[in-house]
Amino acid sequence: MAQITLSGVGHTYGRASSAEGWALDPLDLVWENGNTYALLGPSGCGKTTMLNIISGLVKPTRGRILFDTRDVTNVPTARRNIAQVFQFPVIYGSMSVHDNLAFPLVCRKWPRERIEQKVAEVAEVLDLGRQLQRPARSFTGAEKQLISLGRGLVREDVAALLMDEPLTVIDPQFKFLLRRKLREITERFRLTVVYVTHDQNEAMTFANEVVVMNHGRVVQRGSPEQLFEYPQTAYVGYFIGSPAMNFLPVGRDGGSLVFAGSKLRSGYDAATLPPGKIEIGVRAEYVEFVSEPGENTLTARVNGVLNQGSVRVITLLVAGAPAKVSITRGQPVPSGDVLVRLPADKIRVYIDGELATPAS
Amino acid sequence: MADRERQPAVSPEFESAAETPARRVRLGSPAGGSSLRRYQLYFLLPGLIVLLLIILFPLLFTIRVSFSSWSSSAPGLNWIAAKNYERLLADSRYWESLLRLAMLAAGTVLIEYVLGFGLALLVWREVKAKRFFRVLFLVPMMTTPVIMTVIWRTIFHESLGPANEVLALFGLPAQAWLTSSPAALIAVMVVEIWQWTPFMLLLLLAGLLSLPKEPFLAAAIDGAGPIRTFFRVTLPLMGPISVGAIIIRLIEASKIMETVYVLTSGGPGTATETSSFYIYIRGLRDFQIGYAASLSFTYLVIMIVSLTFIAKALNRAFVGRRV
Amino acid sequence: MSRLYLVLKYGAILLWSAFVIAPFLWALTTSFKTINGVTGGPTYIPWLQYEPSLAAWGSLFGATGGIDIVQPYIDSIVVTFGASLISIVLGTLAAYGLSRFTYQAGPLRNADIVFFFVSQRILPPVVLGIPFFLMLRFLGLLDSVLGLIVVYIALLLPIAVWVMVDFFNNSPRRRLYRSRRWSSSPCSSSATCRAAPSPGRSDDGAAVSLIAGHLTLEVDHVRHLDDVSFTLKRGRLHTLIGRTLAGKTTLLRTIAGLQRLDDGTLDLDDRPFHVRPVWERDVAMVYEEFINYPHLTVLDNVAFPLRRRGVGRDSARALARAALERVSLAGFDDRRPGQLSGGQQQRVALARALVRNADVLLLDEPLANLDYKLREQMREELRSLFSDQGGSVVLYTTTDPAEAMILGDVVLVMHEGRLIQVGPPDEVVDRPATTAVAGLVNDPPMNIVDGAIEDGAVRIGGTLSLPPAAHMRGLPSGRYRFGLRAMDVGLGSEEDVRGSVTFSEVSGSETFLHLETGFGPLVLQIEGVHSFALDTSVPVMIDPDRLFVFGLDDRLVAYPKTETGRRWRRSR
Repeated sequence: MAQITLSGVGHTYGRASSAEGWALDPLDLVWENGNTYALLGPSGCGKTTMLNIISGLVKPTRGRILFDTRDVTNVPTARRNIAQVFQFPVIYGSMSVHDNLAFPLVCRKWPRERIEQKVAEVAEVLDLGRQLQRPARSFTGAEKQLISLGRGLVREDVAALLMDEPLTVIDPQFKFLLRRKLREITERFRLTVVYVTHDQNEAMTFANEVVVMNHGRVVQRGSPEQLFEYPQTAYVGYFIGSPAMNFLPVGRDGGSLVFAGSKLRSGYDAATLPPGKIEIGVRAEYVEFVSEPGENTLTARVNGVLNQGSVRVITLLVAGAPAKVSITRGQPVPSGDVLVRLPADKIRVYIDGELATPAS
Repeated sequence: MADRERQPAVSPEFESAAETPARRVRLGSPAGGSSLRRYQLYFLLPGLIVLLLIILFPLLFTIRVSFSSWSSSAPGLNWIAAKNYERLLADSRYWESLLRLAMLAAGTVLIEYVLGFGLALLVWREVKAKRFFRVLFLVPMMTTPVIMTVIWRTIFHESLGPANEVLALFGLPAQAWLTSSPAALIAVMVVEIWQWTPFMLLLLLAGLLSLPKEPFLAAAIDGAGPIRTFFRVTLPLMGPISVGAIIIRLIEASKIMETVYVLTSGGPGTATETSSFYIYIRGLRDFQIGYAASLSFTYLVIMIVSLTFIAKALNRAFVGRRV
Repeated sequence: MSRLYLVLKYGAILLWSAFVIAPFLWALTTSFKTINGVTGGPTYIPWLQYEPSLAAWGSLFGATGGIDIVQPYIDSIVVTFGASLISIVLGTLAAYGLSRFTYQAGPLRNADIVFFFVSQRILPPVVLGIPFFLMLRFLGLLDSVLGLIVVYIALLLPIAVWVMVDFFNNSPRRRLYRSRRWSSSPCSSSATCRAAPSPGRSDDGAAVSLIAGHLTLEVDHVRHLDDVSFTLKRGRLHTLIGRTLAGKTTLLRTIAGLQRLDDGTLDLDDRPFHVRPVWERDVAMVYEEFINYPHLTVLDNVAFPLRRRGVGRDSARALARAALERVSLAGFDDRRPGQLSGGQQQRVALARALVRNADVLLLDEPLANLDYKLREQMREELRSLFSDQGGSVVLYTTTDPAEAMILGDVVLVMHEGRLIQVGPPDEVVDRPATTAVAGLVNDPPMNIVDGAIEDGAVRIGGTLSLPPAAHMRGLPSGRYRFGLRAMDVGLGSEEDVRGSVTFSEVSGSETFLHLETGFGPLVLQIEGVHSFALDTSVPVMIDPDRLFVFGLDDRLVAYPKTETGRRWRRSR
């Protein structure tokens, strides 16, 4: 396993001279050794370009890629020592599971005994030990994905494991099991993993650290909790979590933030905030219904109720601005005019869509 | 290999069509609304009737004629029992022509497959002007076999044609292409290969182009070289398509007729006489229609039986055992 | 890439090119030779050493008594076109029938019929040659154009059938179904035409509308529909929830008339519906795949069903525009479906279904292929969209409990071909009739653990003993199965039972924590996003007040109170 460094890497599919139209904006990024990363974003956001640059399928227009200290910018895929799991399970259909797992080692001319030992070891981890002699094509999609992962695990020189939406074509009933197995294996082997997906839940479930991309840029990188609690931009606040984060336009009055005439207490000092359009973001889960006015309470009108089973999402109009509050099943459902409270420690402030730094 | 394998045969698609149950129409008993049933039959019947008229009727007629002694001198459907079949069993010229056909078909199709696959691989990826070559390589298939064979006959002409000149370039002795025994067979094969390798190329190239690219990438990542990649990735993935292409060409090659007719007329002697050509001679040249009918019916049975076995064997070799 | 490799590669290509071109080149050079020219030339490659002459070309085109080449060309064109046309028409018809319907003649099925067609290509021409020869001679067609056409039809028809069967099988089945339903709709029999509303329509939103009785379908000994009965009302939104292959799609196809039935009846407004053929049922359908006509603009896509029903061009477009506005696609009129995103394409399909104001509107997992965020947004929009669709019976299938709850006025739960519960969303969640319902309507599925009530205590899995809750009073002692929703399990304090984390899963704004406990696996739901290392030990709080009690036959016998007495702890 290795640390992967992207230094000033940018890519455009057009001509290199044209400054606009970067599929991937030039950036510096370090993937640390032994960590699991998810590369998350909608289609066309540049995540596949980034993955292809790491695997060597795409040579970046500018910048360098380092595996530890080795510069691999011009090294072809085959000699980069990466392992990859694709969207469609790739197995050698004419061979048995055993031969599939042994294949990378046979290609590297390992001695026979070492191959046998290693294959047995990996098959054990994948729960395929008893089925080694079966032809690989007779397995389900999920098991085939495990076999193709296994071909990466047998090699000892793998710098990183890349996974490109590995669950997309898996039957729903196996998805859960495969996801769990992948998690188990990456945690056990301490692999450097880059997992590409467009699915928020998958990214947040799988990775220790999520890199959110949009329009060819990295918007935020952080742990799932950080993404949920402190979205770096309004986009991340919308993209992560369901329902999306509420955003309310606020004004400033000296050191305080003001919404619809009432001052809000928050962890921010309005006086020191940079200029720009100010909004506050509060997650629907943290807004509370209260019966008495008090700190940070606002009047609102209930606009509708969405019964989602375990939670109900109440849509509100707060002084004309739409907002959502989610309450758990069994809590009384409010109607008409209500009072809601925004907990001060859950308020985030955004200047022109970017998270502001709270007062220390 | 990947989950996207396609089966060459038609039947599996029908099995899946039957799984998502469409309304079932019984051609005999009423089911569903009777208006539905009639309306569905309207689709099938015209084609079926034409088919019965121009295929099934002639086929049955052939069988009946094969039990008669119909000839130009005595036309008519008399009944001579299995006399024709007794004669046919002793007709060594017929059996030799069958054997010759088998060797000719197997030989040309094998060479066509190897050449076609090789060419398809050549024009598959990074090649300059690959579009041009892809089109150029398909040109022979679009020409009319009879006309091209006429041209080939002049090429193989002993003294006037360029074939012997080419041999001379390499210091080889001139051949009597169309009038000496092994050479004439080779000439027939060359023409067939020229004409039909493009067909093989077309099917195999289409197959190659439809392959997913992930398996090749995975093989590169696993460290496989070009030869290993070919045998472990390309060939297995191309298995179903290969079987389909070979079977289609075998069927076509077994009907080989025009080439022989135009190029050598079966000569010298009977050296290039194939079954079809022999049946043609007996039936439509000698007008021993009854005997020719028995020859063609026997030929048909042999053809169907052997092709079925070949298809099974090929499937096992290329695609592996499937349920 | 090595130099040798390149040389070999291009060498091979050029060599084969030369082989391909040679006969043409030879024919061309020969055409400029005279008889004398052919024999001239002393050295090798003699065919390049001659005096070129146009004599051969002259006799072809010249007036000097050349051969008439025009008539053969005309003949061959007539033969080719005539034979092709007839073959293609007959072949397409037969192929369409073969790929869309199931024919059965004795033991013969579709595949056999296709093989019968194609087998002609396997027959050597010589086998058919003799009777053909006799037949043509008998009919006096020998050496005539007509005779050739007959022969060529015999050669081409099998190919036409083969190619077209392949085409129909590979083209989206549903697009063809839909166009058949519309295009063959006999608008002349105006009773079924939506342009003139049918008399059976009532504006009373709650009037009984579509009643299904004992629908049963068995295919190859598998029950796809097992005695399914229900009542759907106009103006209400019904969601049908069940796993993949539970029979949801089959049921929709049955209502649409695309699926035969072994038994059962369908009545629409007290008139039999199941006897009507598909094109006489006023049914609109939206599928999981985004199906639109790629060659029509967005506006024409939506106007298409109206135009097919005889609505004038301008009024059809006006209605289509209004429908597009309802699905938030105003201003996209002139785009093609291919230029739209997945979500937008599905909106077009929705608009096309809505614009007809059909008797029955069926939606088969319309959001399943959309992104997570888009799904979240669309299900809210659909809720308000359908509330305007007062006159239709709406049935919407899904596998997602949240979607079923949000959209449904009535939820129908389907499992293995049977309807196992029908009721308002809150009812199926709070009073699931069986453990199967409890599994289907909760995400994650309800935890079910075996246990017993004995000696005045609730015992779970042999290790956990809890005081019985009020709603269990009166239950006899004995063995039961207890159900516990993930949202009702809390992270407890030190004295509670413990479980070790086997997996933690983020879903939206919730975290599902999968645990292995002393009494089996357990899933609990925590608000917010949290990470847990695998094998962490956590305390679990199980509240007997929240336990559902099922009998050993999996039927519900007692359920917790819903509204009050909640002892919910927020996780943070």
